[in-house]
Amino acid sequence: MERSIHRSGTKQEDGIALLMAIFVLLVISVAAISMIVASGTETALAGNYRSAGNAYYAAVAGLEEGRGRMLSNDPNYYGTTYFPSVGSPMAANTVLYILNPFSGETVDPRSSSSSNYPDSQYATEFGSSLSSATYSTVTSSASQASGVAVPYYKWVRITRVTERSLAGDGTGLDINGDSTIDNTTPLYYDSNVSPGKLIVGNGAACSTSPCIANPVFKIASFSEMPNGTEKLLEYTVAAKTFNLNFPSALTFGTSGITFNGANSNPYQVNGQDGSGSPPAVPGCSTNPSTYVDAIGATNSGDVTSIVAGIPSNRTGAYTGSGGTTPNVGVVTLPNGLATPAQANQTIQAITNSADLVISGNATQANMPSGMSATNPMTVVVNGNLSLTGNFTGYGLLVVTGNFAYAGNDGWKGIVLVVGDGTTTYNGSGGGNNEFDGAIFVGTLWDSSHNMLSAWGPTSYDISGGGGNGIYYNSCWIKNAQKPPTYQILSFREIPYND
Amino acid sequence: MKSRLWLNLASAALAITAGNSALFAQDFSEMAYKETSGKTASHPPQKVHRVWTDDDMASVKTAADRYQDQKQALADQQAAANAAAPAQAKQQKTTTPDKKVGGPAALSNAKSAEDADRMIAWEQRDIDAQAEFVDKVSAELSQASTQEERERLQKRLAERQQILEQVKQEHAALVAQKKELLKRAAAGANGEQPQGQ
Repeated sequence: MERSIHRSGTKQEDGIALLMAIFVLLVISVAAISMIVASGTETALAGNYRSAGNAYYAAVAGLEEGRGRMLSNDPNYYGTTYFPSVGSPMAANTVLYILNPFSGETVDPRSSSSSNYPDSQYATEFGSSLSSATYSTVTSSASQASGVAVPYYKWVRITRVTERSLAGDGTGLDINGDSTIDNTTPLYYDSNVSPGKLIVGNGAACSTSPCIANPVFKIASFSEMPNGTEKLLEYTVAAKTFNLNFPSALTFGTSGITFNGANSNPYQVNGQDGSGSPPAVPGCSTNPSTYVDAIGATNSGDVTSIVAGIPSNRTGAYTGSGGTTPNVGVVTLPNGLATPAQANQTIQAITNSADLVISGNATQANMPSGMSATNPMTVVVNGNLSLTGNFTGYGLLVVTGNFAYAGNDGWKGIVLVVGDGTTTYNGSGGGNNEFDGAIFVGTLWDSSHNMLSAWGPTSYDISGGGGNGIYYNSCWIKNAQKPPTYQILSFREIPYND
Repeated sequence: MKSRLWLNLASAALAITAGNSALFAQDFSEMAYKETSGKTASHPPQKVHRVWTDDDMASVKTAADRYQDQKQALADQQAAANAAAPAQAKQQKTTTPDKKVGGPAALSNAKSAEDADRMIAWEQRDIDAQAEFVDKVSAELSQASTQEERERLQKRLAERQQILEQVKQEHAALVAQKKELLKRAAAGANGEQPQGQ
C-alpha cells in the first residue's frame, strides 16, 4: 500500500524540473533585458550630462573672454572704439559682440535664421530689437589653429545694464524704489559702501561726491555643441578699482608740513572739476559745478602752515570749494589712504597690477613708452623720480621717494607721493604743463623705514614753479585707476529660444 | 518539503518581479527624460535661475530702505544747496585775494638790481611759457569740433590771457623797479663820491 502510494507520487512530479528550468530561464532573461535597457538609459543620461556640461563650460569660456578683454592691459583689449574708458558706461542702445564662428559657418546674432545663432534674448532684456541697436563686432581671440580644442561658444554680447535689463527676463528690477523700471539710465556699482550696492546713475544715490561708482556691464555668452545642446549664460560685472577718491586737488596726509608755494603768477591749484585743459576722457564728462578744496590737510595746524607758505600775492591762485582764497581746508582722508597702513595696502594692490614697477631712482627716460592719453598706465617708482622737462604722464603714478619735476612736466591722472612724502619743483618759473586729476602726498615711514602708525611730516617745495599747476579732474581720477579685474556681481543661466 | 520548495520558488519569483518592476519604473521615467533630454538641452527650463551675490541682495530695497534713501536724498539736496552758495561766493572772492594772508610776496620788492634781474628773468620765462600756452589753446580752439569744447577752450583762453597780462604787468613793474634801483644806486654813488673827495 505504502509502495503504491509512493510510486503514484513520483509519477505526479514527472517534468517539474523542466518547468522550473523554463521559469528560472525566464526570470534570468527578464533580469538581463532589464539590465541592458537600464545600461542604455544610463549611457544616454551620461551623454546628455556630458554634452550639457561641455556646453556650459564653452559658454563660461566665452564669458571669461568677454570679461578679460575689458581690461586695457589685456593683449586683446577691445579698445576705446568699442569699449568705454574706466568709469564710463556703454552708450545707450549700444551692443558689442565677440563672434566665434567655426570654419564654414555664419554667426550673426541679428539673423532670424536659427542656423546663424540669433540672439533673441536681447529684445527680451531691453525691449527693443537688436536691429535698432548700434551694433559692433570683434573676433574671438580663441585659437582656430588645427588640433586646438576650440571652445564651442558662438557669440558673446556686452551691453550696459539698466533696471529693465538687469533681471534678464524682461520684467526688470526697481533698484531705486521709484516704482518705475528705467530702461535708459545705466546702473552703477557703488563699492565704496559695505556691502556694495547697485545704484541708478552716478548722481545723488552715490555714496561719494564726486561719484566714484563704476558702471555695470552685462556679458552674455551663447554656446552650442555639435549635437545641438545649447547654453546661454550671463555675467553682471563692474570694474573693481582702488576706489581712490580725493577731497582736494592737492591732499596731504601729514602731521607737520613744510610748504613753499609757487612764486609764479600763472601757477594755480584749482578744486573745480575739469578746470584744467587735459585731453578729454572718452565717455566721461567733468562736472564744473563740483568743487573740492584746492589743498586739503588733515588738521588745522597744517592748514595754517600751508597758508603761511603761499606768497601773499599768489593766494588768489588757490581756488576751490571754500569761500575764501587761498582755499586750504581740513579734509577727511578717503578710504584706502586714511592711514599709513591702509595706504601701504593700497600701494601693494597697485603694485601688483602695475604696468611698470621701477626699483630705485628713476627719470622720465624710465617711463613706459606706450603711455598716452588713450593708454594711461600705472607706474610705481620705488625710489626718487625726477622729471626734467617736457614730459607728460598719463595714469596712476606712485613715487615712494622724492618726486621732483621741472619745466614743462605734467601728469594726467593720479600722483601718489607716498613714502618719504617729499615733492620739489626744480626751476625758476616757466613751464605751462598741468597736473590734471589729483595729487596726494604723505609720509609713510620713518627714517629707518619703519611704517608709522599715523601720517608723518611732509615737505612740499614748489617755490620754483612755473605754470605747472594742479587742476582737479574727476574723469582723469577715474581713468587713471585701471581696474585689475572686473568683478562678477551675478552669474546665471537663462533660457534660450532661437 | 514539496510545499516549501514551491514557496521558495514563488518568493524568489516575486522578489525578481518586484525588482524588475522597480527597475522598469525608474527606467520609464529616465526614458521619458531621455526622450526629451535633447529638447531640454536645446530649450532649458523657462524658469530663470538667478544666482545673486550678497552685494546684489543688498540692492533689493525694502520699504524701510526706500524711506531711508528718500531721507538721505533730501539731506544730500540740502547739503548741495548749502555748498552751492559758498562756492558762488568763492568765485566772486577769488578775484580779490586777501592780501593779509600768506607769506612774503613773490617776485616783487627787489632789493637790488641783481635781485630785480633775477626776478625779471623769472617773469620772462613765465611770459614765454604762458604765451606758448595761449597759442596752443588758440590752435585747439580753432579745431574744436563741439560747441561745448569751444566754450570750454574760450573760457580757458580768456583766463590764460588775463594771467599773461598780469605777468606782463609784473614784469613791467620789475623793470621799472630795476630802473629805480639803478637810479638810486647811481644817485647814491654820485652822493658818496663828493663826500669821498
